[in-house]
Amino acid sequence: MSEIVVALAGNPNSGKTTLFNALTGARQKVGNWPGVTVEKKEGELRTNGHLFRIVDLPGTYSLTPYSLEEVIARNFILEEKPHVILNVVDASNLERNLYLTVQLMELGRPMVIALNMIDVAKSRGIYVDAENLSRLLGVPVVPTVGTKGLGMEDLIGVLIEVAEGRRESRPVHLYYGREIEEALSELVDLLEELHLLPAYPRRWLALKLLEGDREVLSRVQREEGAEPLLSRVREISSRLRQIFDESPEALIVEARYGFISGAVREAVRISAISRKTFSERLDDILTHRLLGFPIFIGVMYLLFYLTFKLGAYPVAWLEDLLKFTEESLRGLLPPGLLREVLVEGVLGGVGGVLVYLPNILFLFLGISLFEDTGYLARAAFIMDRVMHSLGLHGKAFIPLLMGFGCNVPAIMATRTMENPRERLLTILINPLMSCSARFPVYILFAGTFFRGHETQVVFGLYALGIIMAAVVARFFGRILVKEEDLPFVLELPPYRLPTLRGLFFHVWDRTRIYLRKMGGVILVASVLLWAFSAFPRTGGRPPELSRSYIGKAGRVLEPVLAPLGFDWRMSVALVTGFVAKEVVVSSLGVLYKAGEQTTQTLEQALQASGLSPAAALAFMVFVLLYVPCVGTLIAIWKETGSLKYPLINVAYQLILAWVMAFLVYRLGLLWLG
Amino acid sequence: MGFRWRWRRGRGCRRREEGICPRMENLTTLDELRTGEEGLIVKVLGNGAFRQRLLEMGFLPGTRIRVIRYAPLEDPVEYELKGYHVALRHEEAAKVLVEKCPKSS
Repeated sequence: MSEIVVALAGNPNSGKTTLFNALTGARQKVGNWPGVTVEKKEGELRTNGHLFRIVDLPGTYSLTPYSLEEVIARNFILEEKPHVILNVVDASNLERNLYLTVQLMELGRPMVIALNMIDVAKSRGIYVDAENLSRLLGVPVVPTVGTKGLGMEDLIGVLIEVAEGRRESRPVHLYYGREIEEALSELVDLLEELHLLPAYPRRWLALKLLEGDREVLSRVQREEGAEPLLSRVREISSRLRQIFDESPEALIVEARYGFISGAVREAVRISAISRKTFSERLDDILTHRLLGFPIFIGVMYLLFYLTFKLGAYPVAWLEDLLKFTEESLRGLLPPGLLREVLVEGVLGGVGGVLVYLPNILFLFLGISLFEDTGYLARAAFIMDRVMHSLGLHGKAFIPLLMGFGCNVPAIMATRTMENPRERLLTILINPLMSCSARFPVYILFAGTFFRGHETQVVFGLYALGIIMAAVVARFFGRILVKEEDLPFVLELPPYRLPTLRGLFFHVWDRTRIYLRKMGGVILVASVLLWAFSAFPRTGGRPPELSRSYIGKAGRVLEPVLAPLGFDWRMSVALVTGFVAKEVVVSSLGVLYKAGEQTTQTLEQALQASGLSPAAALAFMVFVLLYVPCVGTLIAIWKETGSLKYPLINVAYQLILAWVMAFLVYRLGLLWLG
Repeated sequence: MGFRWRWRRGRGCRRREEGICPRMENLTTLDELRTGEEGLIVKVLGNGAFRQRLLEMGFLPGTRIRVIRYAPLEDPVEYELKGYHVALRHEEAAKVLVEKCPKSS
C-alpha cells in the first residue's frame, strides 16, 4: 500500500481544521514543528487500498518570510514535496482566500482545492462555479461542507487521482504584466545558467528574488557564484521601481489580486442580498458600543462560573474517590515506605493532576465554544485597547484572565494566539496572574495581620500582579526577538454555529495534551518533591519537615530571605510551595504549631511568633510573585517546547519577588511599624 | 489583467458625480472615516512587513472599504473590504490613504 502525503493548507477561519477532522477522524498526532512553538498536526486516512498521511500546515493568509507559520508552511511544501497540496478555500470569502491559493500554485506541486463552506456562501447569495474556477486555475476544485462532511468522498477520490497522476493538476502561470514577466524570464535563465538551488521551482525563486524575500535571498547568498544573479536582481528592482513608482513586491501583490478578481468575476455569481446577515445583526449587539462590554463581562463571568463553580461538583466527587482510595490503601498496606510513596507521593501527584480535570474540561469547552463560534475574535476586538496598553494583543486577554483560576490551563489557552512572539510574552507573564492556589495564603495572612482590611489587601495583591505583568510585558517585549513590525490585523469571521463533533475534537485535543504530556511529568515531579520532604529517614520514619531535605533547603535560604523579614519557617514553607502554592499554608501549619499547644490555631500561632505586619505583607507579595508551581513550569516548558523559558520564568520571578518584597517590607516598617 | 487594473480606480465611487479621482479635498486617512462611511483605498504608506501584510490582506489601490464600527473603547475599528471583516488599530489605519466617498444616502 503506497502512502500519499497530503499537505493541508488554507487561511485561518477557512474551515481547515474541521475538514482535517472530517478526513482523519481520531487518528491524529499532535506535536510541534521541529525547534519551534508552532503546533504540528498529522492525521491518517485509510481508504480502499490507499494510505493518506495528511499534514495540517499552519493556517496563514500568505507565504511571506515575515511570520514563522508561513515559513513553516512553504518550506514543508518545498522540501518535503508532498504528493498533493490540499488547499481549503472559504467559498464565502473567495477573493482573499485565493490570494494564498495563487501563491501555493507557484510552489510547483500538484494541487487540489476544497471549495469549503459552500452552504454558507449560498446563504449569503454567493454561487461559485467550481468547474469554471477549476478551468481558470488549472487545478481540480471540489465543493465541500466540512462541518457536515459533505463532499469528502469526492475529495478523497480526486486526491487519489491527482496523486497517481490519473488526473491533471497543472496550476496556471499567473501573468504579471510585461515588465515583470521579462524580468522573471531573465532571472529564470540566470538561475539555470548558474545552477543555483536546482531543487526549487525556478519561477518561484525568481519571483521571491524580485519580492526581496529575505529568506530566499539569504539562501541564494550562501550559494557559490550567486553574485551576478544578485546584482542583476538589484538592477531590475530599481528599474521597476523607477517605471512604476512602486516596490516590486507591491506590484506583485497587485498583479495577483488582479488575476484573482478576474477569476472571481468569471466564476462567481452574486445574487444581491442587501439585507444584513444574521452575523452582522448579532455583532450589532455583541460588539455594541455600550452593550458590548457588559455582555463581554457577563460571558466571562459565565465562563468562570462554569469552570470553577459547576466544575467544583465533579471535583468534589473525584476528591472523595481519591480519599476512599487513600483509605483503602492505608487499610491494605502495612505502614512503611511503600505505603508512603503510594499514598503521599503517587496519589498526591495523581490527585493534583486528576482532581482538577473537571475544571479544565469545562474551561476548554468554554474556550472551544468561543473559538468555534467566532466570539473569541470579538473578545479580542473589545479588549484590544486595554491589552494594547500593556503591549499585548487583544487575544491575550482570555489566557490572562484564566490565569486567575489556574495558570496551567491558562498557558495552554494561549494556543488561540497566532503570533508566536505575542504568545510567548503572554505565557511568560501568565504566572503573575494570581491563581486561586495563592488565595489561601492571602486569607491566612490578611486575616491574621490586617483584620478588617482583608479586601483592600487582597485586592491590592491582585492589582500588584497585574501591574507587574504590564511592566514585565513591556520589558520582555523589548528584548524578545522582535519580529518585523507586523500590523495588528484581526479578522472578524462571521459567527458560526459550532458542531458537536468540532467541539468534541477541540476539547479532546487539549485534554489529551493536559493528561498525557503534563500529567506524566507532574506526577514524577510530585513524587520527587514528596521524597525531598520524606527523607532523610530517622529510624525508618519520615523526619520532621524542618529536618527533611526540603526543610534544609529552606534553612539554607533563610539568610537570603532574612532581609525581607522572613524567619526560617517561612523560608521552608516557601520552598514547599514549589509543589503547589496552597501547600505553603499547610507547611506553615506544621511548622508553627509543632511543639506548641495543639489548641492554638495557626492564626494565633502566627501572631504569637512576633511577626510584623510589614513582614506579613512582604510575604504575601513574595508568594504572589515568586517561582511558578511545578505544574505551571511544566506547562511553560511543554507549550514553548524549550526548557529555556521555564528557567527564565524562575529567574525573573525570583528577582522580582525579592525586590518587591524587600521594598514592601522596608516601606511597611516605616508606615506600619 | 495584471497591474493595469490598478489604474482603473474610481470604479467603486461611481455615485460621485463631479470630477477626477482622487480629489484632494476628499483625500484622508482611513482612521478619519466615521462609522458607516466608505472610501476607496489610494495607497498604503509605511514599508516592509507592515505594508506587505496590509496589501496581501487586500488593502490595494482602488479597493472599496467601509467602516463597520468602532470598538467600545474606540480602538480598534472594524472594516469591511473584499467581502470580509477585519479590525485595524488607529495607528495602522492612519497609514492607509483613502479617498472618502460622498454619502450616498
